[in-house]
Amino acid sequence: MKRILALLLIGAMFLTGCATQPTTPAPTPEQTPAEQTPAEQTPVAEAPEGPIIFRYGIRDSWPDSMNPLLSALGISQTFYHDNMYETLIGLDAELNMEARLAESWETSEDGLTWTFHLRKDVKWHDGEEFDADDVVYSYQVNKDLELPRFFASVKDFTEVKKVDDYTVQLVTAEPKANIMDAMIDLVPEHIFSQYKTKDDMLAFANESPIGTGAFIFVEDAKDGFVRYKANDDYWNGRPVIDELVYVYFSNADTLIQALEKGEIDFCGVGAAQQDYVKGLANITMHYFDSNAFNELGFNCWDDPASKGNPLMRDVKIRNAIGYAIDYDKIVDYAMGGLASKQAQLLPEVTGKWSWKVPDDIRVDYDPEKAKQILEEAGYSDRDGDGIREDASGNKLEFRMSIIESDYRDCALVVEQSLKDVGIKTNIEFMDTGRLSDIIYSQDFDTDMYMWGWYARYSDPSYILSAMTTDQIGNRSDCFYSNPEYDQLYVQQTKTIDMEERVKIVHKMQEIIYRDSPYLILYNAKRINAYNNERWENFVEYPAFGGGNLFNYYSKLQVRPKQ
Amino acid sequence: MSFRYIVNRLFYTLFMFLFIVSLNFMLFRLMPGDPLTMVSKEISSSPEGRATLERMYGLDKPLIHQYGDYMKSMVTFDFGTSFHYKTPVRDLLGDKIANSLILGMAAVPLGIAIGILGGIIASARHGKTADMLITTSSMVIYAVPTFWLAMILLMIFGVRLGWVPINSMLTPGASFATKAAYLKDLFHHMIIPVLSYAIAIFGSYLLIMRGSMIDVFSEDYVLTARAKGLKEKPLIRKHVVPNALLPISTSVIYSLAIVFTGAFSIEVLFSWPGMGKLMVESVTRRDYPVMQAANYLIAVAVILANFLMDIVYGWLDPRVRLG
Repeated sequence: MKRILALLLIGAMFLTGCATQPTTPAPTPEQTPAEQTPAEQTPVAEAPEGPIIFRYGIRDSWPDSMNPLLSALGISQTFYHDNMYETLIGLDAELNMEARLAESWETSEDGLTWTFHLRKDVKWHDGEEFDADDVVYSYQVNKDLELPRFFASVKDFTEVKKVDDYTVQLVTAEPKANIMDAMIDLVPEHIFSQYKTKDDMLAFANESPIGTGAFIFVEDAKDGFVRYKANDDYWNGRPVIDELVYVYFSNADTLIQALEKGEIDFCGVGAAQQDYVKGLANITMHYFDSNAFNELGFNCWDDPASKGNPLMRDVKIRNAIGYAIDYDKIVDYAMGGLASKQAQLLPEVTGKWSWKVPDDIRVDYDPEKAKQILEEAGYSDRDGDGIREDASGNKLEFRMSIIESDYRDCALVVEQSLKDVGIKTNIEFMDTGRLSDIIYSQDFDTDMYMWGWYARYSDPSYILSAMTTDQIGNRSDCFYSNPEYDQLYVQQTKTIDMEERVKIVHKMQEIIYRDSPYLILYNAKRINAYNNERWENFVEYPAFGGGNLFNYYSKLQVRPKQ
Repeated sequence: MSFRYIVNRLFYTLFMFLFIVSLNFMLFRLMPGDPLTMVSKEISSSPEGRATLERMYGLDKPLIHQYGDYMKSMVTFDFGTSFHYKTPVRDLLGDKIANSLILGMAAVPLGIAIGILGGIIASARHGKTADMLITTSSMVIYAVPTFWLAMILLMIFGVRLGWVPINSMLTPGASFATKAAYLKDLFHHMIIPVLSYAIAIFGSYLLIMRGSMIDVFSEDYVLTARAKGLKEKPLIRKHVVPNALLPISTSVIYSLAIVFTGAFSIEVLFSWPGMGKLMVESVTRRDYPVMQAANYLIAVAVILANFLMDIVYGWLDPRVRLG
C-alpha cells in the first residue's frame, strides 16, 4: 500500500514538472524605479528593491479577445484594451472632451466634417510611428468588414479622409453630435492590415498586442493573470508603477483575504463583505455611484405576436406599479445598502446628460396613491380575492421573469409590494440565457422582467437608443415604441449645439419617466478597496460621484506610499 | 477470459460512444440562450455586428453543416476555436487538464490512501472506541460542504498564520529563475487545495472499505484461518484486505480516470485554473466548442474507465466472465 502511494506521489511530482512550464523562463530585470520616475513626479523615497508592481484583483469572468475589434465583453475593455489602445478623444474629470491621440479637433460649419489633428510624438509599442494612416485604417476596417465591437460607432461615416500625415477627416451625411460614440480603439495599420479578408480578421487573435497606450503587454496566463509593463515613451508621461498585473479570482472571499494579506493591492468589494473590510486597518474603501442601473421592465410590445399580458400596455397600471414599490426596502434589504434611488435613464454620474426629476412628478413609495390610480382607472377587486380586475373580469396577474442569481431578493420585495396594492405576480426564476430567449424570440412570452444596463459617460445615445422603435429585435428589451421619442432621438444625434442637445436628452428621459416602459429600481453603488500602507495618489474620475478609482489617471499617477 | 467477452464489451463501448457524441452536439444547442444573446447587452450591437459575430462563431451555417463540422472535429481531435477565449480549444484544454491533473494526482490518491487505511483500521477495531472515532469523524467531515471546509483551512493557514498563499497555482506575474524555484512556488500553492480536496473525498472510500472489510471478516475462511491460529496482522494483510479491495477497486479506477475533469468547488475557491472551473464558466458563456470538447473527453474517459472496469472485474472475479 505504502509503495503504491509513494509511486503515485512521485507520478504527481513528475506531472507537475512537465505539464506546465513556467510562463517566463528567466527573470528579466527591469530598470530600477528611480530612473523611471517622470520629471514632474517627486522621486520615490526609499524605492523598494526591484520593479514597482501593482496587483489588481479581478473577479468577473476572464476577458475574451485580445483583438480589440472583435471583443464582445465590457470587461475585456477594462482588463485588456484600455491599457494598450487609445482613442482620438477622451474625457476629462468633468466629463468634457479631452485630447488624447488627437491634440485638437474642429467641426465644419455644416456639421458634416470632423477634422482631427494628431499628435506627432506618438509611437506604437514596437517603435513604429503613429500617424494618419493608422487612424484611417482603423475607421475603415471596422466599417468595411462590419466588425462587431465598433461597427455601430463608425457606420455613419461616409468618408474617412487622410488630409496629411497628421490630419484626418471624418465625413457624415447628417451632422453628427454624438461624436464621442465614434471614438474607437485605434489599431496599428502595419500589423492589422495583413488580415485583409473578413475571415482572416475574424481568426486574428492578436496575442501579442501592440498599442500606443501607457502599458505594454507582457504575458497573458488565461484564467490566471495578465501582465503589463510601463511604456517608457508614453506621450502623456510614463506611469510611476513599473508593472501592472491583473490577477483573477473565482471566489469573492478569497479575493478579500488576498487583499488583506497583501497578495493583491486593489480590488472590488461586494455588499456582503464590506463590514469585514471595514475592520481592516490596512485597507481603505472607496464608495462610488456606478453608471449601471437595474430596472423592472414591462412587456410593452403592441403586436399581435406578443404573448405578453395586454394589460401591461396600460400606462396607468405601470404608473401605479411605480408608486407601489418600496424602493428603500430594495436598497436596504436586497442590495445591502449598495444602491441609490435614481430613476432616470441617465444616472447622475453622467453629469450634464442626467435629467433631474422635478419634485412634483417624482414617483416614490406611496401605496395609497397606487391604489387610487388603479381605482380611478377602473381596476378594483370585484370578487374579493385580494386581486384587482378590470371591468371585464381580467385579473391584474402578471408573470415576472427573474434571473435568479442577480435579482432574487429584489423580485421578492417587488412581489410583496405589488400584492399590497392588489396586483398578483408569479415569479419565474431562470438564468440570463433563458431570459434572452424569451425576450429576443418571436413572441416575447412574459409580462415583466428585471435586467440592467450601463449608461456611457461619454455620450447618451447608446442608452437612449434602447428605447427606440428601431432597436426592437436588436437591443430593445421592453419593445417600447413612441414616434415622438424616436423623432427626438434622431434630432439629438444631429444637434451639434451642446445646450440645445442636453435639453432634448432631458426631454427624452422625461418621456420615459412618465410612460415608464421601465421602472428603474436603483442605481448600483460600487466599492473599490486598496492597500493604504503601500499606495497613494489615486485620482477620482469623474470628479463628481467618483467612478472606479483605478482609472486612466490613477494608472499613471498611483505610487508607492512615501 | 474469453476473446468473445472482450469483443462484446468493445462493441457495446463503441455504440455508447457514438450515441454520446451525437447527444453532446444537440444538448448544448437545446439549452436556452446562445453565445450571441449572452453578449447582446454588452456590445454596442448593430445587426451587422451581430451577423459578423455569428459568422465568427460559425453559427450562420445550417445546423446539419455544423453537425458535420462537429463530427469531423471530434474524430480528428481538432476541437475548433473557443468562442470566448478565441484560441484553439485543444491548447486551452491541454493547459487546463494539466492543471487539474497536478491537483488531482496529488489529492485523489492521497484521499484514497487515507480512506483505505482508515477503513482498514476502523474495521480491525470494529465496535471499539477507535472505530467509533474514525467512522464518526469521517462521516462528519464528509457531510460538511467542501467549500466551507476549504475556507476554514484557508483562514487558518493562509490568512491568520500566513504560511501559505491563498490564490491560484503560482504567484501571479512572478518569473522563475530556476525550475526548483518554480516547483517550490507551485508546491507552496498546492498545499491547502490538495489537503482540502483529499479531506473532501476520503470519507466515502473509508466507509466503503470499512464495510467490505467487515463483510470479509464474517466469512467462513477467516474463521478457519483464525481457528488455525493465524495472527491477526498477517490475517488482515494476506486474507482480508485483498478480498475487501474488490468492491472498492471499481470506484478507485473510476476516480482516477476522471481526475482530469477537475474538482469544481476546489478550483473555484482557490481560483485554480483547471477543467472544473473552465467547464462551469463555459456553460454560463455558452461556449459551445469548449463545452463539447470537455464533455466529449469526459465521455471518452468514462467509457474507457467502464470498459477497463469490466475487464479488470472479469479478471478479478471469474463469475462475471460467464455472464
